[in-house]
Amino acid sequence: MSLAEFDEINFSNSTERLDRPSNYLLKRARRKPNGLEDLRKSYNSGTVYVGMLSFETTEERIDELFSKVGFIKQIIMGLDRFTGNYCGFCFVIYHDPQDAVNAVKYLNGTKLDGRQIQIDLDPGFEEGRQFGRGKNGGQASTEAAEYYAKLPQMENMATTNWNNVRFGARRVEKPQTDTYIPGEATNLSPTVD
Amino acid sequence: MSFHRKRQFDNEYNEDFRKRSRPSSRMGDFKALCNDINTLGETPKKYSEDVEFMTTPIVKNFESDDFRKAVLQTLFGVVTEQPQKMLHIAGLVQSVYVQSASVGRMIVEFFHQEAQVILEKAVSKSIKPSSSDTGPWNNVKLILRFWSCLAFILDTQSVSNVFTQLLKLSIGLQDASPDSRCPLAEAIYYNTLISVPYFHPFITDKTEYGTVVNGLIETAKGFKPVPSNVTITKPFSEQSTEQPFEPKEVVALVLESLNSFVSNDVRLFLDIRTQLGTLLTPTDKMELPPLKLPTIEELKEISGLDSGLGSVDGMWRTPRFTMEVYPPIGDLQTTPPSDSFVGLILRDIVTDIIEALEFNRKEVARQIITLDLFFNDNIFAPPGSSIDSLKKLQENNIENGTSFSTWKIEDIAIETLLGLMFKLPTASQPSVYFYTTLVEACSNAPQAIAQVIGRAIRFFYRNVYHLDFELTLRYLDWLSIQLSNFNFTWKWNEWENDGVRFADSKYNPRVVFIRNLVAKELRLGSYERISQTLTPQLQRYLDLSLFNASELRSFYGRVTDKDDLAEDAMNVLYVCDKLPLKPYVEKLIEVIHTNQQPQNLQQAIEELKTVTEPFTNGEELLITIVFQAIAFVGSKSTSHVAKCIDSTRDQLKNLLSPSSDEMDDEQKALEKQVWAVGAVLSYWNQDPHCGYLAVDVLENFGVVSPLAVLKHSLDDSRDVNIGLVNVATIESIFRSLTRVVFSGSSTKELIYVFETLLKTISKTCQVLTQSEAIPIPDVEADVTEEVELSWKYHTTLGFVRAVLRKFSDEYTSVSNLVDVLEKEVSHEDTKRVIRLWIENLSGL
Repeated sequence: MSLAEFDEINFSNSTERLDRPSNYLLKRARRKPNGLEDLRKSYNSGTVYVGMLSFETTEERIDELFSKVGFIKQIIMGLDRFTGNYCGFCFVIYHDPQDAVNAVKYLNGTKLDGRQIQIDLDPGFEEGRQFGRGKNGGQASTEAAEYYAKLPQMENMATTNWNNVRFGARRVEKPQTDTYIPGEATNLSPTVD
Repeated sequence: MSFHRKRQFDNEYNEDFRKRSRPSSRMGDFKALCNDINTLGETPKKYSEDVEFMTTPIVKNFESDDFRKAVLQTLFGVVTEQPQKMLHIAGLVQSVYVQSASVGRMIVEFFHQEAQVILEKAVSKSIKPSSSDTGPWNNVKLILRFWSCLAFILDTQSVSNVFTQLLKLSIGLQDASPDSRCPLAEAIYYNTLISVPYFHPFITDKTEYGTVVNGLIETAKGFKPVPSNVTITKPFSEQSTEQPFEPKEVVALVLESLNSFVSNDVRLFLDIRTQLGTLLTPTDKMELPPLKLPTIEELKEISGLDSGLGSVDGMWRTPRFTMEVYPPIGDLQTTPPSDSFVGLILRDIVTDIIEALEFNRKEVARQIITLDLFFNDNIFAPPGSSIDSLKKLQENNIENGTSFSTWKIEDIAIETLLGLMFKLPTASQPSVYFYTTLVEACSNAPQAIAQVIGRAIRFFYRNVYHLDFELTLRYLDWLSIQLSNFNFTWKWNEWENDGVRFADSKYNPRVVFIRNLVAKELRLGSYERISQTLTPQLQRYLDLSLFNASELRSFYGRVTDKDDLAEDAMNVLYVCDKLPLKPYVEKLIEVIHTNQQPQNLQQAIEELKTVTEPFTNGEELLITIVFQAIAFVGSKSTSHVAKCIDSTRDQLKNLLSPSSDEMDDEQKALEKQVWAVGAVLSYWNQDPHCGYLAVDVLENFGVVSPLAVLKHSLDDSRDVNIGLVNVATIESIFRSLTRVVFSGSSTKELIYVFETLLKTISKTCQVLTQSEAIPIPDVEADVTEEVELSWKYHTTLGFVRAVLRKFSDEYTSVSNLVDVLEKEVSHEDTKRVIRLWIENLSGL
């Protein structure tokens, strides 16, 4: 679905704006029938979604960081559906909607409890959204990350001898001077400007 | 149409897909070109190639409406948002002009139209600027700069005429109010004059340059700046005899510095003209039409610049002072002097970037650190030079008679950013923007930036004893965010000496700062982590107790009639066997915890009331127990305590309302509320910040009044006046005041704070028995009673200064401020100082 003003190319600013909705939000909005409306609403809701939090991060720590942007109305901690423990996300609701946009601009990507937090605009909190939607009660994204972390890891890329690695049928038998082989010192490395 | 093709479009999914308006590939190409314009000059070696490469497509496609609009918007965007690229953009536009005069002409005309639109907007009062809007007059400045670079397109004299127009406007405006400074006149004057050297880079006839500049300087001499007497916005206390630097008004510096810049022929700008070589060939020039400026009458209404203007324009509202964070190390200067032209223009450019790109702090952090790319090589030392290597460079300079620059671009950038962060009376953006931009700069290039930031941190620590009260809070805020982003690592051993020597001091500014910094760190990180970073000697500062043990003992002793009760946690205290309260308290907690019917709670309170009545301070004991029970049940988090208070607020209000037989209703009610605040804070004694968050909730639900919170915070009868030194308390005071100011009726609270602080000052003065001015003690002086009192006096004075300035609008509407001062304070010098500040308020 077309997202009206959000699809327009912005020529009037000389660099990208950080107060735009994230790609995730745009992608989701395209799939939803009232996606565009939600996107517009998220600029006026005063609400931000905060993700990638450490499970140890308390409400007071979030308050300390986020209240630097403006007066906070409410913080809703994301909870594990089954245990009720914090599970790595929360919603922060500001009195002034502009403060929510500012939180995205100024705080997205800063660190809290050693974690780089991720902040996104949000159309507004609804009851039930405070619970993780994952299979085990936590956040679905955390579970996905855990799943991938458990998959057998490839050997360390830097120390691998790529000549011995078979990529299907292709195998570099005899390195030629003008072929770039990753991991091997060649004089074809990109020049530093 | 084949069957399959038809099917494809009937398919719901594909229909959805088709409807999506995707940027056409043409627009995509435009975007790519515009991105190249945006980053022009960032790869200096490729600059002329880039210009050559971009000129043709611009000329070819300019007839397309979409393309033209995109390019013009982009050019305007770069000129007004990234003024460091001004010369590079001018080079491109002139190269376009050489290929096609009509396209070049259209670009110039577009800028002229925009300038005209901006000027029209400037006088209309209805415009609400966005946060990244630097203001109409600042944008006019940048457009002016851009025109003066276009020596191959525009007739120099016609551009110079526009400069003269603006200078005359500023002179006229200032002359219209000869007795007081006119902020708008200063802004226009400064903006115009600082842009004059931009004629230099592209002009071929250097004698023409000389005549133009001298003509403008002559005109500018007609401007008579009125020095302001506002001192309340200076970053360091006026009482201090050893100012770290002398803040100067920039408007008074610009003319002289320009004069010496021009006469010394300083090569600041890159020689873009030579770089572009044959791409620039002289052709016919066009005249720049004069601007249609608003009249002085029209401008008079907005000449105070107090509302509806952008960030940079708004800075002129109060006198703009220079700010220095990196004083020379011996002879070694790491930044250009703040009163030199190079110093002024570089800080001006950095300020513009920071303010105009406010929507992308990552880009700001990148651009301001790589600013050296856009200026002549020999202006700066190599990027990332350490102080040691600069010292060697300096020695070599002296030995060999060379003059290699020791100026660090990082220092200039960070210093300007800190200047904006520490700007008084208000910062141009929310302070957190500056904090996180610094964090960003530091994480981009830790090796180069960390040491620069470290030096700034040390500078403020050294001078914290005379730093403005409000700025100390911003300093704490910044440092806690900065350190929490870098795993709380800091060389605490540097401050260990102070921390140990002054450990017993209550008011020594450095030790107060250390105490508060640790407290702020503990709000953002875990106890274990912070404890690991502190040296063993400083571990004592992990104890954040609001009240000391003896105060707590006497408090609990008073309410319970028992002197030997040392436990402070209520769940141990009230349910112990020494007091006959256990079943009642347990019932109360049970009722609150399970969120039962209001009548059950009322009944539990009534029952408790009957048992507490026999105590000497029965009423206070009852209130203390109930509020500590609330704090206990809600101790898990602020949400929990908010939920508890929300469901019990009617009973709590009931409990705090004065009974009918009491005479002085209001006083009694206030006293009860102060008890309630005290109860919550003594429960949270180990973690005052949580305590104040709970008190905030009580305040929000109207259970306690802001006045009660202020009264508790500023109580001077305690061992330590927590309202002066504890960061949690100070923040709570400012939060309460801001809230009442927002609600519209704040006179009572503001007067109360003013009065109470004056009483504290008076009391301190009486003990000090000094009739003359009380000097700021030596920061290294040992802890004696006199030194302590002097620190207390200056801290309170600083608080008065900060609170008057922060709420100046509200305080100016209070008529009897001076009467209060006369009544409360008898110390003559104190009176003189505060009276001066009160006079200053009308100028803010």
